[in-house]
Amino acid sequence: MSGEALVRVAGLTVTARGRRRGDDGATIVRDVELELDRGKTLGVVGESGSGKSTVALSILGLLGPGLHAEGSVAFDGRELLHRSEPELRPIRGAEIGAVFQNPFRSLNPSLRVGVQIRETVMLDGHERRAAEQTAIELLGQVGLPDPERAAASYPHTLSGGMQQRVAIALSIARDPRLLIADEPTTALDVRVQAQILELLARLVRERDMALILISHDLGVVASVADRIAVMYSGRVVESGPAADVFRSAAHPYSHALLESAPRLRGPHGLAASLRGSATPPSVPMDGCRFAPRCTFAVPRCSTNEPPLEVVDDRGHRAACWELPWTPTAHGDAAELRKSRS
Amino acid sequence: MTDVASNVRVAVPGATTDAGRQGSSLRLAFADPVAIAGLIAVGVVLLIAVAGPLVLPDPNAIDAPAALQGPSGAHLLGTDPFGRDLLSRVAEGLRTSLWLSALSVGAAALIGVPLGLIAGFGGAVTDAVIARVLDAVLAFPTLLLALFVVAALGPGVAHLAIALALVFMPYFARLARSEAQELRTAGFVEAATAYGTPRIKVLFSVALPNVLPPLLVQLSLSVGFAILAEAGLSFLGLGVRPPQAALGLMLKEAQDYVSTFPWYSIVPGVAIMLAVGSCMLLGEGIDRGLDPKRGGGFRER
Repeated sequence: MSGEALVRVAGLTVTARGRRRGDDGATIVRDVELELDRGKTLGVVGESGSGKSTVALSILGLLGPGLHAEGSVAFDGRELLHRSEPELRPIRGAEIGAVFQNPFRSLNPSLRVGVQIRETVMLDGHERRAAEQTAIELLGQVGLPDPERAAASYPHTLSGGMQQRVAIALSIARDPRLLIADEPTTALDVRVQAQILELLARLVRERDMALILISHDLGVVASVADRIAVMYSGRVVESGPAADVFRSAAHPYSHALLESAPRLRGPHGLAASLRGSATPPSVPMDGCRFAPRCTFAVPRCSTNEPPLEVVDDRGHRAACWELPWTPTAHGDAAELRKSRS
Repeated sequence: MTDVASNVRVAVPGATTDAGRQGSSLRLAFADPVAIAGLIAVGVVLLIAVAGPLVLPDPNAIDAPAALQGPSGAHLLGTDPFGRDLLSRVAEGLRTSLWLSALSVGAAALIGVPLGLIAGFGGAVTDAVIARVLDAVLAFPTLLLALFVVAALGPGVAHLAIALALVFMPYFARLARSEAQELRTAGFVEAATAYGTPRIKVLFSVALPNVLPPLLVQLSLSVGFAILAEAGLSFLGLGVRPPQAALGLMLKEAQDYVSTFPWYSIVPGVAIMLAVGSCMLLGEGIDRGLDPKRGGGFRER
């Protein structure tokens, strides 16, 4: 990590406001720390409900009216939390772009694709004609084979993959320095997923853009990201360089995530799965939130919550009392699987 | 990419690759046979109203010897007690009715739609204030409220237009408000915000295009109701005043001749029916065209 980070999220805690006075409300995200350098890619991984989208929305200032964020979200040295709508507007789109999960939902069904991009480009004060030209160029850049025709189409006439390409064109229309992609491939089929990931990686390279890629699939993220943060039940449980997290996961949860990916080769045809389901972040509990599902939990795990601790000097950190945790130190993988079944 | 496109496209309902058939929702709206019939009917009424004065005799030309005649070669729909040509007067009346209704309904939409959008997208307080005002206006029967307004302002065409605009405005506001409430949580509205679109632009260039189709239905239905209201108020002597021809006014004059010369009542009566009916037909047709359950809209064609 060199120089000032582009994005620095520190102690981010998001709570849903209680309905009655005196009600503290439910915590959705607690003490999240993230850091991202210019031009780099950060992968945020976690199950549904782990709070990863909430973190993304906090950075964009798009949290719903019932949600309240505390802590700090610094973008390029400027604090973004608690800014008013007019103060956020010059940053949204122009400096931070966003791609959402369902491309069809994020495109306006009543407007031609070209018009939507043109209108977005024109927010930067460009002439109509120039903006139209830019729109077509953008559609070409995101890999649509016939940009002119795509520009004249309505979203419902495009395939899911093409819609997501259009959505990406929209998100980079104002040339942001950071792109936040919230599960951009989840609604797409596998082959298209790979193409969209490739496209994102290419755009990041060509435009020297930073990317926060949110996904529930550690494999998806590992192929593109420089760094990875694993979230569980509203907390970051592990973060570090992508290769380190992927190859030598330090937290039992990250390890289980990797284990649960179905494999085609190797001795075990079936994917191991985690017992039970994640504790929703809103449920208060003592100790490590993963402890009830953790095969290696010791008594201390259910009484005290482990802090994020340094695993090695490359910035690899994990929140586990049993560090350095490795599956071999706790019995080999086969045994691990047996104990789970 | 091309082959991926051709594979995945199938998954999208109503998808079509033919660039020529890529229709906007507005084009879909007019695809229904009922809508086409409505368009033709409205076209005929418009033709009579617009072209009538150009080819027909002067609606105010008095010809006493020819009074109260049935249809003939000289007077296609006969004459009134002053020997004036009924078809000319119907055309004149339709013209008055149509522009008056279109003008007041247009004004109602121009005020009502932005008001509804602001209410639907705005905060709880803004919404509550606007919604309560609308409810208050809606609580009065349409015709009665129009009557009050004209009575307060005094009779006259301009006052009638104001009254009609006022009574039809809440319907447009209510429509826009309910659409806006759905749209405010739509993905593309949130996305537009994330791209940095100012709020006012989100309202009018992102949300408004999605309100247009139902708005079109409301517009054509409202013009129909407005023609009826105009006829009613003119009948009561609160709208158009003689000697200008208006359908309601003709009906009023025809009252005295109901038993002796019923034809005089039938002609403007049928004209009102046709004018209102064609607007209703058009509205119904557009509604059908947009409704996927009835075989229109975004269904696979």
